[in-house]
Amino acid sequence: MSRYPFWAVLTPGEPARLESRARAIVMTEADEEDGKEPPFEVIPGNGRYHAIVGLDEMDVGAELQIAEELSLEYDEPVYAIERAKDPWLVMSFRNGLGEVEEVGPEALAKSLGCPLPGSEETSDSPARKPLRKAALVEGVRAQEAHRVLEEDAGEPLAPGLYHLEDTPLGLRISSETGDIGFADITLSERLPHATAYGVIASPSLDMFFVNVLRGGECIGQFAQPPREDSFMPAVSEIKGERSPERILAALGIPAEWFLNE
Amino acid sequence: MEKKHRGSEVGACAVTRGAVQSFQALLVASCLVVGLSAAGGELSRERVTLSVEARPRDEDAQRSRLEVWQEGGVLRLRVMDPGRLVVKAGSQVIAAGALGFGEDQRLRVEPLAAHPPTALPRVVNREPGQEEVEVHVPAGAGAGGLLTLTYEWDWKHEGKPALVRTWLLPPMEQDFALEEELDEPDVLQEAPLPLQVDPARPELLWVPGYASRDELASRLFGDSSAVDAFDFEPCEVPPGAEGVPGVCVRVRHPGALLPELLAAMRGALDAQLEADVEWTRSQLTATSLDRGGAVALVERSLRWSQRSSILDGSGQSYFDRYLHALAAWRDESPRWHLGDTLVQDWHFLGEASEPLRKAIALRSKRWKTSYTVTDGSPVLAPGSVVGRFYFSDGFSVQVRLLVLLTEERSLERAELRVRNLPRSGLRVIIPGEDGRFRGYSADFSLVDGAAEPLEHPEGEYYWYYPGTVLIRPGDWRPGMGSGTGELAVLRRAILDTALAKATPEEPQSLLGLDHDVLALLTTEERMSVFDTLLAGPALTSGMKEDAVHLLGRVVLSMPVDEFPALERELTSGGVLEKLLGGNEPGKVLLGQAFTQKALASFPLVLDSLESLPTFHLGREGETTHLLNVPSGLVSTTLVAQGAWSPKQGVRLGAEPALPGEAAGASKRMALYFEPVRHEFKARYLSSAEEGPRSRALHPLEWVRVEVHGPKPRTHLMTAMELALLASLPDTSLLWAALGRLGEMHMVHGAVSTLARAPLMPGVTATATQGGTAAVARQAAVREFIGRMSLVATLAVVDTWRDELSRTREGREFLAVHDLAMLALAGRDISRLATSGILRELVHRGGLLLSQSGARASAGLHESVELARALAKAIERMLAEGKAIATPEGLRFSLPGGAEAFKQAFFAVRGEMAAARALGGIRGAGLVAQEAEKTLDALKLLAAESQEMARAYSAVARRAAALPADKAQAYLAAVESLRASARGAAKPALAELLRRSGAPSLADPLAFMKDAEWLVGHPELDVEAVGILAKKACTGRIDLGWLRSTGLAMEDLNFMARDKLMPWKHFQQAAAEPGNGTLQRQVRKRLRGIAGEMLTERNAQKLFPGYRMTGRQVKLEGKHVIDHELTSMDGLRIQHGVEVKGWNDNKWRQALDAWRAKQGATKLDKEQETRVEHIQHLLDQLADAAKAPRGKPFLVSTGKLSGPTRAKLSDFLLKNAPGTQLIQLEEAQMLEKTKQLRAALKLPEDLSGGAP
Repeated sequence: MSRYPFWAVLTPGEPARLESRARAIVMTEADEEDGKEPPFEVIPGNGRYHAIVGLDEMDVGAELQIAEELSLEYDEPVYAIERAKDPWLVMSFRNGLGEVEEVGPEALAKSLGCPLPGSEETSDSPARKPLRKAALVEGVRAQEAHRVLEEDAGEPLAPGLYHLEDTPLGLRISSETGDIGFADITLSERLPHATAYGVIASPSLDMFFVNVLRGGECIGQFAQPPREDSFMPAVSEIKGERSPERILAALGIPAEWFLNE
Repeated sequence: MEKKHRGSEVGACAVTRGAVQSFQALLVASCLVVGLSAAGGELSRERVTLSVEARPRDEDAQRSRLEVWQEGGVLRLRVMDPGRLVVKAGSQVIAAGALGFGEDQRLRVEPLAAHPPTALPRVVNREPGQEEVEVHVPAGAGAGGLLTLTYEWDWKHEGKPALVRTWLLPPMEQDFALEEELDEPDVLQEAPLPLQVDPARPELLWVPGYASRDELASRLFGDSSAVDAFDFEPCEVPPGAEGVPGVCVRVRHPGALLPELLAAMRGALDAQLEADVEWTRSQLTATSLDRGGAVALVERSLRWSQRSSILDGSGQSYFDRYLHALAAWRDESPRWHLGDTLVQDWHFLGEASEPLRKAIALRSKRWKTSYTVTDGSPVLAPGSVVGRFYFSDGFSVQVRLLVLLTEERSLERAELRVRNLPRSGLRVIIPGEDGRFRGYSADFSLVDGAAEPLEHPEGEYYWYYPGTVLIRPGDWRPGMGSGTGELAVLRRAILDTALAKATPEEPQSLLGLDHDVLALLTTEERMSVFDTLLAGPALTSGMKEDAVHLLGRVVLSMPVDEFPALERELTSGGVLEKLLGGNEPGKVLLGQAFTQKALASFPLVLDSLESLPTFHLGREGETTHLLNVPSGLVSTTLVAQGAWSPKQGVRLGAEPALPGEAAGASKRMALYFEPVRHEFKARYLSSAEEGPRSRALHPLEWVRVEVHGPKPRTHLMTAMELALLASLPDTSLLWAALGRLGEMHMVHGAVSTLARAPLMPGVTATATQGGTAAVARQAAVREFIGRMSLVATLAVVDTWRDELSRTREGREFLAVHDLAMLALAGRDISRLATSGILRELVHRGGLLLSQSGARASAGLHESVELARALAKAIERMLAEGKAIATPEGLRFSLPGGAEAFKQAFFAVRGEMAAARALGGIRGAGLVAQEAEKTLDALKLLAAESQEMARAYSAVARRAAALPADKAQAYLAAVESLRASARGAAKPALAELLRRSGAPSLADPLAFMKDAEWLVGHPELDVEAVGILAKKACTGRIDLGWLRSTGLAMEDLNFMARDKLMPWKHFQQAAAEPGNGTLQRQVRKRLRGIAGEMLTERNAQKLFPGYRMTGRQVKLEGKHVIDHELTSMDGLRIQHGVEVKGWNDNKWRQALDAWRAKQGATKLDKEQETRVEHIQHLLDQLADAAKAPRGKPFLVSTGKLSGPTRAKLSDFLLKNAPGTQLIQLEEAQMLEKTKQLRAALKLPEDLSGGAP
């Protein structure tokens, strides 16, 4: 499959028969007469459910027709997924009647044993690794930060997710994953007195960004190379320093933290 | 659980296209009516109690009145006594099954042997005391006929009169919704040959009789050279079979089938396995089983043993899977007094078990037995039992080996040798354990008076040794070609040996040669074979039947260009006399081969049927028509090739001279026909009356033969073919031969391969793919439109043979049809086009349709008209010089010729149907002036484009199929639509008109009213009109609903231009204002659309230095992005723009979920959904950022909180660096969303808050 399917139907049944039924439901006499290929593919699942996926944007809406019809033939629900417009719409059909389901299409498809094509190839699969992130937060201690982050997560923090280290310069935050996520933003939002310096950088520091946060707001962004299009207020120095190495030294954050393995 | 199989499928086995499929589509459409009714709970249910006691009451009711069945209803059957149920709508079986009660006293439904498992009635209640099944009666099935329920009692009531209930099925109304006319088949596509898995024996496939071996090989395996990878099986056509005439094939290695065919076969086998396993278990768990039952179980086991080479999806053979069901009894002692031994090991059926044990020993991979095979190895000993033949009544006989005939290193070599041996009789080839292949003669262990298995083609052979190939006596393989490489060498060697051995007195070595070997004969050798047979006693001795058949095979397998010389030989004095004097049915094959080769090699011209000499054969009441066939030498004139005009045909007095023949006066043998009429006036008295002798006929002249009898027919053939047929002195042989005249499979299969340009000698077909000749030929085949289309179209006509045969016009049409098929068998449409056959086909078809009128069924009407239209389109293209007929097919003189041909075809279809429609209106006494004007206008438009020609065809056909008043109203609506269309909307108009003519469209008047609004709207963009028209034609938008919305023109244009617009969802939301979940989803979507609108409308402001150049752009990867910008600097770099209508809350939730996933936190369902969305955004941005595009833009609301903004910035920096965020004014987004909601009539207030 070369394209992203705009719609899909997840249904029980025998694949060859499903293809035949879907063809009868979706294709018009003119389509048959013109020898058109069906605007869908049937992708066998590894269980009772199989996916019928649509590749032609003109056929958005066909999923409703197919699901409605097939649901008359099976006792289990038949799902119609439409991904042409955001947010995606998932409906379950029983006996010809549809209901909106608040579930992700891919999660649903996987749970039924028929993952949608393309879901295995996402943009994080290429070799490029995301930039790393660490932070220094002034005005907060590790214990308090741990409590706040845990409250925000709603559950105990996973070991290694954050390294919280009190230093003379402030609380230094790093992660075994190389990315502290939004910890600096959360702490700055929850603790209005704190000032956070979130640093995002490439291994060679040729891409280097520092967000200065207070009260959850970004009050300044240092960017190298400079960004003209940033929607954050730009600053040209952090703690009086203008180069990545010196800024890191001023924040007490080791440059090697940004090296990817 | 699956509720039921509905619609067109016959199990998983139908693999058909074209006309057959179109008909199926009609059935499916009918079934949908049922489905929709079911959804509404409005199905009518007719209840019948299947009880012996209830029967008399039912019968009384039945006698008093014949109820009219309510369309789309359901038969609900209360099962009280076991029996066998068959429900038929007209002649079509719509449900069948054995209803009984298992050991657990619960209802069981099992398939009946004669019907596919898919036709089982559906169980609705298994509860003891409340058992019920139901049968859906598809709307339109058997229209106008009877719905018949037959229930034959089983068990203790067996033999009692069956319960029969009937209802009158409503006729097809001449209504839009139930319009009976068949859809336009896929006539101009080189559609794949229709195939069907045999429902009872899924290892067999039904294929069209007109297909050649290489066409079948291509269809079955995707490899046209695999002509020897399947065998034809002499099967009876299953009752109720529809579609083109079929022959049955068995594939030697099912694993080599194309995947979709293998899947269909497996699907059918799975279904049958399930049914057989259930049946087997019920037999083995029964309280008693007699020897007959045990034999039946063994037979079923052997049937599955033959499927040991067919593997299911997991790689397990179907035999092993069946044995799995038996395995539970494997170690049991013989039960139910079935034997006196106590040996275990698959011996639970006593003495009857032996065949099963032998099959397991030789064919199962998974299951073992201690059974010892004593046949010897690797050479099987004479007398070895290698298989069993089962008659249809369950009686069986052993197949034993006689002597070893040959031993070879490959199956192909062994088969070649065995097939070309002079001796006849049963032969088998069995692979040995040493890897060699051995051919043996074989026979049956028959007791005195036993039936001869070879006379029972309905019986089944079960072989113990896997890979056994059966060769029946007289099992010839036309169409094999003589092959290449070592096989061609072997064929040559076999031929040389046979030629060297044969003498006029002892020609036996020649008599077994098959077509593939005979195809290697040189001209001289062919003449020598003829001389050998004609000079000696072969044609008059005991071997004359074989000798005449050999002559037929020689003619069939010879190159076309050598036939004229052979024709001289065959029709010369001495030979002709011998041939006419014989009484061998093989003469009929020789005659057919003669006509086919004559058509392909001589410029024969068919004049009108009325001008042809007509002769009568057959029986008509007390009268029998026969012909005497004298011959004599007459004068003729040979015309030099250069002076010969093909248009004048071949006749006595003017016929083309052969190369080397001197032009001028000559002599040749002519044929005469003397009618002889026998009248049986009293029981023992009869009189014979001889009619006048016909004029002298050239053997190549066309004659017309009227066959009298219960099913009168008309045939066209050469005088020579008639002479060979009519000169059979044995009238029973003559009648039998007459009955088989329409069967031309042998001729078709034989000539189609050989008529092609030969492949380069000594090189395999694959190797020549790149060769100049092969490439040129393939190109020619690709360019060619018509032959396969015409063959397929005419083959559909064949399915109406019975109906056609009822009238004189029908018989005459069929006669020309058969001749056209014969001509097409040679793949030579030029002959067809120049011989006058096409013209006569068009003429006869027209007479048939005009004279049969409403009496002809819609299907017949449709298929005949199709054939006429195709023939006429070919003629028109030729006459206008737009196409040239060549031996390879039609060539087009201008680029785009193939498309022009299609346009011509549809225009012709339109013209024919228009004439019918107008005739109908006038015939009803209505004024046709306006309708004529409309159809004329469409005809003019049809000349402009193929789309318009298709529209014309569809409209005219629909009008022709409607009652006159409705046709008038329909055409008035068409005219109104046509007249209202803006000039720029013509392409959309063509689509909408075409759709209005589709039989599946229930209300074309309403459709066209809405379409009129669409194509006549002055402010709708042309692009928007085109997209909306396409969507309206496929049912993806309801134009009536769209018209009812209050969308501002600017918004409507914007939304309509978007192919991805989910209109159906909006319509559904408007219809369900109280559905909060749906409303919230749709609101979010409208917000996104509002964002896209604002982005486009504010593009200049939002993207200074860029111009918007595209919408919904497909990216190089897999995704689509909302807009495309192009930089206005000199670089003209393109950038993708993705618009997200997400508000602050949605962004925050999505980003937090994304982070939670990165932190390996277990996500709930909502979080997973959010992650999917954000991942999709990343995928889109990554796709959009790929070179040569520049950095992408992300458009979002400007109203984001500080933390959300910071998180988004953070997220983009890390995951989609370079992406530039563009912000829209939230107030504008809210306002636009609100406008859209109001325009679409969606509720403003939602409980639970707006998103």
